[in-house]
Amino acid sequence: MTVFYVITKFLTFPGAITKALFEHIMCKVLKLPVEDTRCLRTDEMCGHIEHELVERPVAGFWLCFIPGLLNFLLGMSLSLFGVINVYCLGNYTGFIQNNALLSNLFASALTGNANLVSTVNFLLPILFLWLGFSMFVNMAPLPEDALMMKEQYKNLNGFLKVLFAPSYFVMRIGAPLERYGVTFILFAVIAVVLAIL
Amino acid sequence: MDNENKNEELFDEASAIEEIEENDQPDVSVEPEQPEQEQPMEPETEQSVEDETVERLNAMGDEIDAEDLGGIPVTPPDDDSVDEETESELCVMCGEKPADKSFGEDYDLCADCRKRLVKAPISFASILFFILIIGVCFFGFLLSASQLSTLQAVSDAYDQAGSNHLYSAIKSLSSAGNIGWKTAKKAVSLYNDSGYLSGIASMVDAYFYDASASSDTKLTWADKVGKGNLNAPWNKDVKKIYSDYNTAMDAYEKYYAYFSEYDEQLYYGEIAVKDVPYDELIQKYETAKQTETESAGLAFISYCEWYLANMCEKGLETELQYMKAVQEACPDFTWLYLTKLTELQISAGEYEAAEANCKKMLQINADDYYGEYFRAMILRRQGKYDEAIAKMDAVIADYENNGFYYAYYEAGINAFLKNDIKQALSYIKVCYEGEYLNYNTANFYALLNKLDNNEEEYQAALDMISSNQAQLSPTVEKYLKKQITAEEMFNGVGNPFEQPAAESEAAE
Repeated sequence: MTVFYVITKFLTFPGAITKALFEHIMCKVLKLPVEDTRCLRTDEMCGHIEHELVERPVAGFWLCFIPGLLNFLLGMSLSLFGVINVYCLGNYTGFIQNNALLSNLFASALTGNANLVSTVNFLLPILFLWLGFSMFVNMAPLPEDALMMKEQYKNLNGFLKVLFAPSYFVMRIGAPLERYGVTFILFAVIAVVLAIL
Repeated sequence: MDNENKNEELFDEASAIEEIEENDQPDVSVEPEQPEQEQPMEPETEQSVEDETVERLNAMGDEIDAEDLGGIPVTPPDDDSVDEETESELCVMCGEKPADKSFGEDYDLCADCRKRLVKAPISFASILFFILIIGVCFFGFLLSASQLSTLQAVSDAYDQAGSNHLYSAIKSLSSAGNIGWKTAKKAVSLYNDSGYLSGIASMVDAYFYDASASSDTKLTWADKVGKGNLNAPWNKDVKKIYSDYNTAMDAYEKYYAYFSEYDEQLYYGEIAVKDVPYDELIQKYETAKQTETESAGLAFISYCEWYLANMCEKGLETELQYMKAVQEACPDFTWLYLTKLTELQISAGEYEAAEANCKKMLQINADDYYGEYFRAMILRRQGKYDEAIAKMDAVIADYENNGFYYAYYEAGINAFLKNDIKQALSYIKVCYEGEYLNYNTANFYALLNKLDNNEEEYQAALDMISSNQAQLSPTVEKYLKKQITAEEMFNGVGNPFEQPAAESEAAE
């Protein structure tokens, strides 16, 4: 399973790199020692940085939540163009011609070359979709961090438990799913189904 | 070996010698040192300090009293556990400083190493990559922003289609620019429901490809990646609509061809109506009905029969008969028969059936102003002129850019029938000066100006008619001479403004 996990991380390397970057930044904010800053590795730490376990209350939650949230926002932003063209319009032809910015940029290169225009029309939204997909697949924290968060969550008072419950459960469920590469498969299926509908 | 251990050995040796002398028996058990002394590997030439000391003691022959040795301090043996504890307190990174236990009993880093790890720098490559991602994200926003107008138009179209305003939806989609094959699926459905069949072919050509179709044009990579596959399971609705459309068009072309040449000759005035072999053509169509199996084909046969009857002026009953046959042959082809059938039913006085058709038109397409137009026509024939005008005023207010000129025309007729010439003029003037200038509106405008004693406008209208190689309708003169009433003009059968006997082309 580690092999499959590593493969999914390399296939979605933009999201893995940004996730690790955000985790590192959070470690700096929380003053956590970082033992290994490599993000793309060939073991189960791929896509994450190795850091000291968090024992302060709520800090574990923020360490798990903020990087995931930032990756999610980045994913939404990056996939917007792809969603409009692939899912909403199914528009693989003509958005370059309809778009003044792109027409000016590519006018001389694309003039009279229908296949090139069509290829660019097709690939550009797909590229943006892949970038967004990469971000979504790399949202969950490490299972160890999620476990530490679980211990801390138990000690919260009722109000805080309710407040943090939705994101807590998403991270708790997402962490093992991402560890076994299930999030990759899940988002891939969603992407294909939405493209057809 | 430490000094402390040597003293201990000497003491043991002395005790052992003493015991031997006492027991006068060799006592193996008190020779713990023997194994050490008898270490075979030790060369005899090299004596250890201990052995040397033992020899000396033996040589002395003095009895060494244990008490004499008691004053010699004995160094306690090494305690290894103390050394282990000292090693574990050191930092596991640097191995020099003690671990900072303020972070926990099991913590194994010193303060300096911890600080160094906290300040571990972020990889420059990661930062660069992140900046690149942000740049790409910004570029994506720019591209998306440029498509907002398309999205808005498509969204409006879906909303309008959802509330059954099909014409408005089609108009929104037309203004959206390039809409993509997914939205084109919806557009094809809208065109089919609204009756704008030509839009079906243009949409399918622009946004779909059919790999199985036999065509001289080879399928290109641009087609495959840029268009929807017509044979894909998720596009089967589009394929059916397109297939039905092609079947209908094939049927129409096939049966229109029976009299197309006469139609053209009549249009250009090369022949007269009496020159058209009406009976022969009708017979031909009736024969075709016997062999035609498709409902679309049967519908178009009846439609062509109606067209022929209308062209040859065979009367309202004949036309109504054929149009009802179209409905019977293919009830789904509402775009083919509904409008004309309703008009014929109103002319024939079948107001209930016409009212039901108007309701059906509006159910299919809430934008179909013909539904309201025919309702106003029914009200007019029932003498309810004010209600008819109110209905047409609502249509005028609703229709964008005042484009539905039939509403002005119908309102003008109703105002005329209730003798309000000024009001009638206000409506008909819009038609006359707009895009609904034809023989009827020109004559009606002339008549109204004459009744309003506006000679200037009346003359201008006459000039307009004559400039189009036409003459003033005899109906106008008959009305002015009070030979016919307004109701007979507009509530009869056929055109209210008949053309003079010497026919000339009137500009429509």
